[in-house]
Amino acid sequence: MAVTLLTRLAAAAPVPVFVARGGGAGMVPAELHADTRLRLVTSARHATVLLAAGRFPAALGEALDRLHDQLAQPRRTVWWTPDASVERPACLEEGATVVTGSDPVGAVVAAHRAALTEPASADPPVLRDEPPNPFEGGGDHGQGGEGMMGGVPYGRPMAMTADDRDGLALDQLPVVFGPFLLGLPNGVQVRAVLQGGTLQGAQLEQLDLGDGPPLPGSETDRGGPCQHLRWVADALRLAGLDALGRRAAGLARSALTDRRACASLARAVRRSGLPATWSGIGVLDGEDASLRLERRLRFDEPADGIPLGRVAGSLPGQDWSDALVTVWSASAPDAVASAAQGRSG
Amino acid sequence: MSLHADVWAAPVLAGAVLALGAYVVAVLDVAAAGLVAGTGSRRVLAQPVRNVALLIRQEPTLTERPDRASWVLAPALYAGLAAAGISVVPWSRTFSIADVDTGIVLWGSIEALVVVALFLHGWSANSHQPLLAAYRFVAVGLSYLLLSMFVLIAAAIPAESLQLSRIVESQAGLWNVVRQPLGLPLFAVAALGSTTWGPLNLAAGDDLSGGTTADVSGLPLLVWLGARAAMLTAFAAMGTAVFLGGWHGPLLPDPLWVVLKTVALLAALVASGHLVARVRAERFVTWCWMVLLPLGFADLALAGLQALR
Repeated sequence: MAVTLLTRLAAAAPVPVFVARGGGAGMVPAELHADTRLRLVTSARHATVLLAAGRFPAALGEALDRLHDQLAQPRRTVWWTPDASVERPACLEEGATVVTGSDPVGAVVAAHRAALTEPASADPPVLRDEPPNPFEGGGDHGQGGEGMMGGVPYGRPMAMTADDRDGLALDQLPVVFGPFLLGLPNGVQVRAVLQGGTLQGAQLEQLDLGDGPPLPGSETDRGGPCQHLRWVADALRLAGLDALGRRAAGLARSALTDRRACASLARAVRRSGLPATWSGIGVLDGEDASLRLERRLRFDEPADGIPLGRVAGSLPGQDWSDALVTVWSASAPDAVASAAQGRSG
Repeated sequence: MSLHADVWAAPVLAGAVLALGAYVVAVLDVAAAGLVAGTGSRRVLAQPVRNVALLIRQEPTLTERPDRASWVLAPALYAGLAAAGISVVPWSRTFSIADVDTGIVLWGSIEALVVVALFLHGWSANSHQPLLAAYRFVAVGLSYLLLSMFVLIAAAIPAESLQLSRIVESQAGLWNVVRQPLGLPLFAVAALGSTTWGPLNLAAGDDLSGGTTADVSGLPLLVWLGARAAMLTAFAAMGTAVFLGGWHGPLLPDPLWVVLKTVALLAALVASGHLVARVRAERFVTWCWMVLLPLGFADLALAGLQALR
């Protein structure tokens, strides 16, 4: 009885859903934030439903499989795609609910409830629980590197000391962020070298997004307030203003040019201090993140992204959070999809 | 003369107050988010309960080679510190859970140990985003801790005591929020910092996939989030006692005034999370040392001058 009540309460909660954006998804999934039946989460560990939006070929599919296995049980997967006949990773094979229409929310809510009420049918892992590479190499412990540091045990680079910008010898840690991280355009991942929270080097890689039809609604990504509102919705989530982001997503979803509502949102964003907070971050072409935000808040200018190579060049020396703001503020996901891979550091 | 709770009843009472406080924080958060988003504030009472049920039903996940002992210890330490903090808050002129002579000093040590709990939580997952969040939190910790120390000592000066009940008694004629107007705003900064909340949410932000909680799910996540909300409640109750005159107020019973003032302060702290953007760690540290700490010192100097008159 108590378990039944607990399950019923859990099933009625807003669905914690992790949205993975693939090829052809554009910025359409940002609008899902407007729906109060959902709660968009930024860690797969917090989600019960993985919503895969668009195409996931090759490396992007492998990353999606790894992400899928990080969701806590009970979990379910929903694939939102206009064409389910394209190449798909293992986690989108049998068991995943396929939605081809313009609104996946009903399917996500149903998947959440099914995961809780029918735990036996929840998604099993698709990868084996083992390191991606064997533990081998030189060094005292067979990990490569020197002494107890450095090397690539199990294929993962370990920290090794190097001089920082102040001349101190501190640990440098190579890590990969993305490709499904809030603040990164679709299919982009960052190969970073960190010292503490500071980037010493960064490569931005655009993974293959495949070819095929886009998600319904993505045609409005280019031009018009809708494009800007979707971008602003994600920017606000990145800045910790989740509720204001929901308001922006709601305006984007309405697909109407309600100028008064847009102006009211812009005032609320300015009052939050976000433009001041972002001032001085990621100066590119004479504009910092704050000015790029202000341009978006006018809701009427076409926004083209800055090529990834140039964005990557501005990242070393930045705090990771500032770097993420730089990448997102310089991005226009419909434009960066075709941009060349960039690297720096 | 104050009554103290029985040694066995004290932890139960502190736990009950904090559990209720955490629920109030969750309700206020849902309501504030609905108002700011323009989606209304329906189901504000039920939604926190549903979220709790979901976390209970969700299985905990493990990272590769975590520091398991620390992963368990961190939320326990955070919750324990919140319980110790709420214990020294006087609820009426005759009752505190533990109205120790050096309540302000105890509170100061709690604030310092919060840094340990949060760093431990980020460290123990053996994962880079939680660790980055922990680094970021520790980088700003000292700045706001000093703020809190200054304003709490300033509040103790007119009472000529470090005991919380004496500090509340000293506000019978004039509350500290009027006598020392810089105190409460600066203490609120420390509250947001210690609970990594709102504009000072540097250890649990979405830019780090939830920060120290990025790899935590299920019951351990519930315990951590509960401890964080409990700590915010403890800060609000302490702010009520030190700056808002505690139990002082007309007509209503003493404890009701404490509850009303605490909830009002909680509402302001929670609302800030939906209205003000998260600060940048490096800029906050600069701002803290260049502007807020001198203001904290001015608050202390003002209290000293008032005492000399």
